[in-house]
Amino acid sequence: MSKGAIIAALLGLASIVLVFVVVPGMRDAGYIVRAYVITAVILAVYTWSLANRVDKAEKGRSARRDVTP
Amino acid sequence: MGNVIIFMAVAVLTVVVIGYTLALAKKPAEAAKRGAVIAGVVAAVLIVLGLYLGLVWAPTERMMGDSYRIMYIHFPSWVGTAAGYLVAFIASIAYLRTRDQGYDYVAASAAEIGLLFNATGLVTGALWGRPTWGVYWTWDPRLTTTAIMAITFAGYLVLRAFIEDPEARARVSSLVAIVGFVNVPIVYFSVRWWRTLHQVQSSPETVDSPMVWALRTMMVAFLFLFLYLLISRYMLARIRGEEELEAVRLEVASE
Repeated sequence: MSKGAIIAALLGLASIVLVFVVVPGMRDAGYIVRAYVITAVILAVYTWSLANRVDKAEKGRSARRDVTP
Repeated sequence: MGNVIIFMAVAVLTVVVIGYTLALAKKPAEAAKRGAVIAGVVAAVLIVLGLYLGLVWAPTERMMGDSYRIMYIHFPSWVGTAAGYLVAFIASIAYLRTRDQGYDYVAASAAEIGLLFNATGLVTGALWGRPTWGVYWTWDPRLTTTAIMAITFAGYLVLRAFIEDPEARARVSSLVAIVGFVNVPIVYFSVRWWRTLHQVQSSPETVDSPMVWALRTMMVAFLFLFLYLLISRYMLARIRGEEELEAVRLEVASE
């Protein structure tokens, strides 16, 4: 797993934890929690997946360059 | 006066970010990677700060209560959406003028990131609408034009997946991105042209200062997140594009 993917996952998790700590006492907390958690999951999963795909593609490119005479 | 200066600063920052994304087509991979790291770090710091400001520091709104706090991710999502579709639009024009594949990679990447933020904007909007309007969704002009915008750019990405020839794909999808962008200003002005359920844009003069600062922080954070994602997606598109061109070259050579 690439460094960017790990940071994205950690930041997403930290945001979700913050939301669960701060929001529950508020009015309409259910909607606020759902909005923040869904957004955090969408953005973190995409960022995590993208960072992994870039890492894999870069490794593939350097491997091809090493093989090509 | 202070608000005007801040508005100008945000506008200049937006122009710089969009200008940088368009310049990606001419940048070496190492420089782009450095840009992604800087944008990613700035985005992460500002998101943490913005979440604190929006969820803890900003006061409860008198009419809506706490559900208005969804705005701190709802409105910044539209900043990412507008930036994505605008970059896709300009890069598509640049591609048609120059036929430089780099601009096609920028356009495709920007459309994908724009659609990502469009999705978070729609979801957060629905979750704000339920406690405020009593419904998750209604066929209000703003909501309808936004849904059309999302469908158009989803169609743009599907179309790209169906065309194998890189040049034909870039040419056809550029036209779709240009036509699709026509809807973006319609979405923005829809709340003024058709005064229905969705309220018009707020002014910083009529909103409490901590609320404005929390919103500005999240807006800039999402702009940097957009930049980080766009550079990363562009790097992936460029590597895949090079592989594709190499495969075409080998196929021609073997015939």
